[in-house]
Amino acid sequence: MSPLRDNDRRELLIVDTGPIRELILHHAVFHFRFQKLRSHLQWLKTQASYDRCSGFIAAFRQKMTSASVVAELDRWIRETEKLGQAKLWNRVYDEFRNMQMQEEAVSLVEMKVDMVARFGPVDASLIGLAKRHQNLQPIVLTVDKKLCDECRGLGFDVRLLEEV
Amino acid sequence: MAANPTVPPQHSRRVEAWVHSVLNPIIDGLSREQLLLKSGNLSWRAYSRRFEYVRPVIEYVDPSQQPNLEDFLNDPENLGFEDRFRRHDDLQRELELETNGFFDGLMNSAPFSEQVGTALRQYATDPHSSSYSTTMTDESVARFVGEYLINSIENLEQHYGLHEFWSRNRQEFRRLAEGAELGEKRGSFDRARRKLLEESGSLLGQLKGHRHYLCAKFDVPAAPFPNVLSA
Repeated sequence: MSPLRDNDRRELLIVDTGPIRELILHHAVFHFRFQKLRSHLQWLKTQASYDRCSGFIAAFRQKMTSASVVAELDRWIRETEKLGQAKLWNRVYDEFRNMQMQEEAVSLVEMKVDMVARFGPVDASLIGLAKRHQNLQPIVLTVDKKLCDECRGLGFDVRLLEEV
Repeated sequence: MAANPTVPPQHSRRVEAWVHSVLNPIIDGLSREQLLLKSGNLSWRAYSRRFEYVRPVIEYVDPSQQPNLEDFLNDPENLGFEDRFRRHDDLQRELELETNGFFDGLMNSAPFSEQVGTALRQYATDPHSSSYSTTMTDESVARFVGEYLINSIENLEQHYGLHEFWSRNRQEFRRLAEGAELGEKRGSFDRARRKLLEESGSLLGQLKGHRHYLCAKFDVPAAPFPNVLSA
């Protein structure tokens, strides 16, 4: 799938944990030389792939994620860095501040129990955000094929990071 | 003759702990510090008023490994490092103070505030500009601009909210930051950066040399082996 062009500029991008993780890792490895983190990069391994992703995100006026994604980032940081977790949290703060990322909570009782059971509360919260902001025709950006298929099934626009 | 109890034996686990949990993270931290100080990107953040990756030496060592740092500093094998670390940390603190002073000078400068406000209004009304978040005030944008100036940022990532605004206006902001009103604060900030760069480079060299000395004298590896890592 081709990246967004100027004439299909959209209002809202909903960002899953995977793309945020990749942006943070790329910056940590290539700008701040945290070489031990290099092996954790899966998609944004080159400057070209990073630039494509950055350009894609830039085409949206608003960027949003869910509070559940922040909790998932916490779990990832604790698994990735046994020591010195602050350096990754600093990167998360930098990325959120500079992207002007909005963060909304979707409460458990707002989500359908069968969806939480099938996909977990993080993916369900992103679908919840897409429903909540349906009027803005959001696009969900993820690395998760299961979430991608579910979004498409529900009629939401979605992109896999590898398609960007 | 009885062995000197203060000299660790060959293959000493204590010396391994000094090398792996004290020297290696400090060498890693100082190497990054050198890179940042040379490039001018000090990783200073307006929200914390601190450098994220230019820290006092003790902060390069994980808190769980502080007892190994204390043991390292107290052993006669490692004489002189306590003073070297203190000298580094004094200069790091001086740079942080000068940086905060320069930032406060920018925030209190009427020409700077006016320039940010004017640039922001021009940007917001330009139909060709990509939009930034409408929740951003003149003050919050000024704080970002101050941070980017201190960190000598050339280009922001495309997906950052102020990417285009910065690329259009950075020259004018730089001119103001280097102008007469802020020249003195800017000068003190640059001098403090150069002093820390020199001290940190010299300390880094000394620590690398000392690591080699300890590894050779006590026959310990400079980094844990993979099988030790997975144990």
